[in-house]
Amino acid sequence: MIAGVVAGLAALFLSLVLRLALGVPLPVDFVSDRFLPFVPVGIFVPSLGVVGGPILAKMLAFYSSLLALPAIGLAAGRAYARLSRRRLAVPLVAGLLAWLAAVAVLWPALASNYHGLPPGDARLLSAASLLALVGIFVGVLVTARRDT
Amino acid sequence: MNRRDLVLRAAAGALVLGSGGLAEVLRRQSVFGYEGIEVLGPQVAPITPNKSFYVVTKNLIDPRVDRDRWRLRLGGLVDNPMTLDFGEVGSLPTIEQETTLECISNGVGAGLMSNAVWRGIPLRELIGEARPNAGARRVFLHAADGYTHSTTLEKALEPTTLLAFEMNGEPLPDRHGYPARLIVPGTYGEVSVKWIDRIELVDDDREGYYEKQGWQAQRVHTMSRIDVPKEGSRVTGAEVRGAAFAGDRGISRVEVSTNGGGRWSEAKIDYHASDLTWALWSFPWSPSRSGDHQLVVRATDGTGELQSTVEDDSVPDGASGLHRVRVRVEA
Repeated sequence: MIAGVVAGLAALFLSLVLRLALGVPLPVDFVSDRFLPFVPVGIFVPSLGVVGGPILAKMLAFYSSLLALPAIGLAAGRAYARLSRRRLAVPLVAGLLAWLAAVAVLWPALASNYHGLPPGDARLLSAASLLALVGIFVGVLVTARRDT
Repeated sequence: MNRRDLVLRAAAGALVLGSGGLAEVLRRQSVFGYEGIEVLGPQVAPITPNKSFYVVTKNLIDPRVDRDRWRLRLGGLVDNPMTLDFGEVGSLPTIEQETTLECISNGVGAGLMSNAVWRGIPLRELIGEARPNAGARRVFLHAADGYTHSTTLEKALEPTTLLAFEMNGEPLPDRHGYPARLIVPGTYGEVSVKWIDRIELVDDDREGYYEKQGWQAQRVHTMSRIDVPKEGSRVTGAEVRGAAFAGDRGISRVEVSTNGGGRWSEAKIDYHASDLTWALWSFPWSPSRSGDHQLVVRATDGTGELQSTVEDDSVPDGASGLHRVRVRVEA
């Protein structure tokens, strides 16, 4: 279980480093930029009211996003632990598929960069960063779960 | 606990500490401390200081764009697509223009509205250089943070639509779009795209970030507001003051009622730099009786159209209705 949490924490740490050093949006930025525009204003504005206004909603999004990756790690760690034979191919393929799905779904949002990188370069950097997040997650999970 | 568990726990602790430290750095840069600050009340001045100027943003943490890395791309349906760096943009002839911006979510009597002097290049100069095709009819705007919005080519070509890079004599602050943003007078603030990095001329009706949600920001409603006295205050008679704004149509008249809208008297407009700015007004009031009073204000825009009395919230095209303030006059 702890292996998954550590994998999630490692991915979280990397995402924060990438945001500060290279302006790569946090996963929560990618997801909100991709989907919030499709929430009709008649639903969007009352929803903000339910959580106490836009600032509280953003605080909630920010802090809960910090917990999201360790939580995903916890779930992934449990699932991996249940595999009778912990073969390397399983998390590698799952990670690759997760990355491909993320790039496909988030594609329009990948062109943004908070340090002002041009859209084409920003998209490449975003995709590479997501791959790095998945890579460190899988790498730590597999390494930490390896029988000693 | 075996050695492996010990190492994992140590790693988890280190990562929690490290992530916590980085998250704290980001939290300090976040919009939590400044988004939604209202410019209201007795301290409202003709020009809003940069630090007080209202901010509404889609972001958790606003961009900090590296000016040396920044490029402005102008393309789409043009014969001469261009990519300009900041030095090239800054070397073009600039103008200074005082313009008020108001957020589309600004409610009746609220303070998501501010006024500043902007320096920049009329966007039509850049678009003219790019030579638009005959089919181009809209402009789609992109920002570094992924924000998008559109406006008409006609609006983009108005001489007052600016690509701005200075605000009140200083480089744009990060939170206001450094190194460059648009200023689109007559529309709500969401059209004045911050951190702009791409301008695309198009022949379709593609929608930007908030447009997809259903916001309609292309025309500011005429509004007026009472800043002094405050709702529920006890007064002995005083000056009533406030602000009025009508996008790019100017304000021709402000009227105040001290009896809930039964009788109207003209207020004095103390400050109104141009049709693009708010009007700050005052009205000397000597109540003839003590007790409860309802103050109401209404404005007429530069075309002679009276402010709407229909009460409507800001969704989807900006709030309307008259601002009313209840006060108690004491003998």
